[in-house]
Amino acid sequence: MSEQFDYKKDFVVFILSYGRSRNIKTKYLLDKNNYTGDYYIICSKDDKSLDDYKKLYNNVIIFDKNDYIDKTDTIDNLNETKIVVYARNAVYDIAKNLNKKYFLVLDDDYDTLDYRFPFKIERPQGKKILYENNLDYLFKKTLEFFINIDFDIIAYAQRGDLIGGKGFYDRVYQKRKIMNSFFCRTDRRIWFKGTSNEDVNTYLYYGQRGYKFLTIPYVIIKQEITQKQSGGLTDFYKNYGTYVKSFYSIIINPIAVKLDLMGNKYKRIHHKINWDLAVPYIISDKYKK
Amino acid sequence: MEIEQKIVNIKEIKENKDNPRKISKSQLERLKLSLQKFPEMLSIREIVVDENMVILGGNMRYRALKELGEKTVPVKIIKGLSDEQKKEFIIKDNNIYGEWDVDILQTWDIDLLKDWDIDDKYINKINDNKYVNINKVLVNTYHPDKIVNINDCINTEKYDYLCKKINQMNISEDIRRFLLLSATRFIEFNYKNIANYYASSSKEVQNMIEELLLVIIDVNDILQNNYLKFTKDILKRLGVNYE
Repeated sequence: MSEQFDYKKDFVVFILSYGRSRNIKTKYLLDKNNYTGDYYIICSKDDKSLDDYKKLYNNVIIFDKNDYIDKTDTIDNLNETKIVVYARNAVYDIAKNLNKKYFLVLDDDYDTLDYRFPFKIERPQGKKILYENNLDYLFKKTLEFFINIDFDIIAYAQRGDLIGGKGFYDRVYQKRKIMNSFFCRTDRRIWFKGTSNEDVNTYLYYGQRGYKFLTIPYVIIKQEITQKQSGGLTDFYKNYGTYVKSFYSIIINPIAVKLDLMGNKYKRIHHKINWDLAVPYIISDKYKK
Repeated sequence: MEIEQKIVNIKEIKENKDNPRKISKSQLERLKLSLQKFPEMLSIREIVVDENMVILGGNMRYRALKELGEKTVPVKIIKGLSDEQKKEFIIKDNNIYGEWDVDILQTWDIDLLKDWDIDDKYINKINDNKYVNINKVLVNTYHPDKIVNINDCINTEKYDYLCKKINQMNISEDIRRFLLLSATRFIEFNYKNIANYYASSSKEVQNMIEELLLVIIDVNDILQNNYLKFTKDILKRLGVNYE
């Protein structure tokens, strides 16, 4: 049986925010769905709107990117600082300082959580949304699952993951992404990598080495369309173009990652992962002699 | 009573003018489509005729085949039935006893069921059915299913090319060593094939494949079972019944 956990004592949610002090959609998402656990807004020292954050919220934790610049592999020499990878690496230390065993890392622009199954289900009256009035239930069950399976990081799906149909639901053994929402263990540090595409770079780098990640396909996290908001990573995309991020993942794994064209009407360059070449398969122990 | 099976010219058989069954034009079109899609059905279930080649069972299929321009048709010729028995056969052949079990049907592909012209009332029932068979869709560990050669687990084509190039360079040994090690990044491991190879390997080789983290073993099906449990918890919260 897996380790015991105390939801209130051992778990915390972090919202990574940068330059959006007055537009933290994720905070609203947690509040309106009666999340009762601890959560903190994580800001970096170089954020010009830091005073505004402090004025508006009493649960802001500030970290210094300089503490992580030397420790983080950005996979380039651009010396870009307005990037999220430092915060992703800082939260492990923040959780440790807070004496938390597990934490969930969210970006600041999530509108909704929803669910979707590969089979038709009837949504009973009064339960239109999975987490309605009880986000705690969803988080507790997710944590229970996370702890029992003993993985390094697990995540909820994002809207785009489900395009392409049922395959995403029944191929957890093969497609082991983590994006947008990260359930992490304080005692198993993962160093996120790359100025851009840090989530993809990280699951490819560690995944190939046998670290265990997966996405829960039933729970979907939705956010505003990237590159339309101000703040966050928008400046990086403006400076370098969105296509540049794919190259970071190619550098991490030149065998499994290739460039591809995505989209129906307007094509754009994006990375494409050949999962058979990316991470070891998970197989049942009944095949073990 | 004698029974004979053979393939005859479609012109040899005669429609039963007294057949009480009717078929609409649209139903006939659907039947034609169905026969075109699965022609083997006719050999499995032939048209039944009497000794005068008058159809006892399969009048609709006969009309559909005729319209499709078929020249020959498999038949079962029944000799020695009385007129009353012939009428009884016609009725009983067309009676449908029993109902489809929706709980079983819903585990089948609904699009295929529609394609096979199952009555719409069952399609509606399947859609309305609150029971969800989640076990069917929640197999989340890989089950090796083919014999794989060890050479299919690895591709060193690019690595070999790079090594050859590096070895031709006039450089110091420490730089050569660095470059040769760098070239290993282009060794391609096919993890799917490795999983298949693992299943047929000796215990000793399996242990080493595990130690090299080339497969991840779901010990005691912990991932599989917990994945199922988590999904059930969520469905339960939603008030969805599951099997």
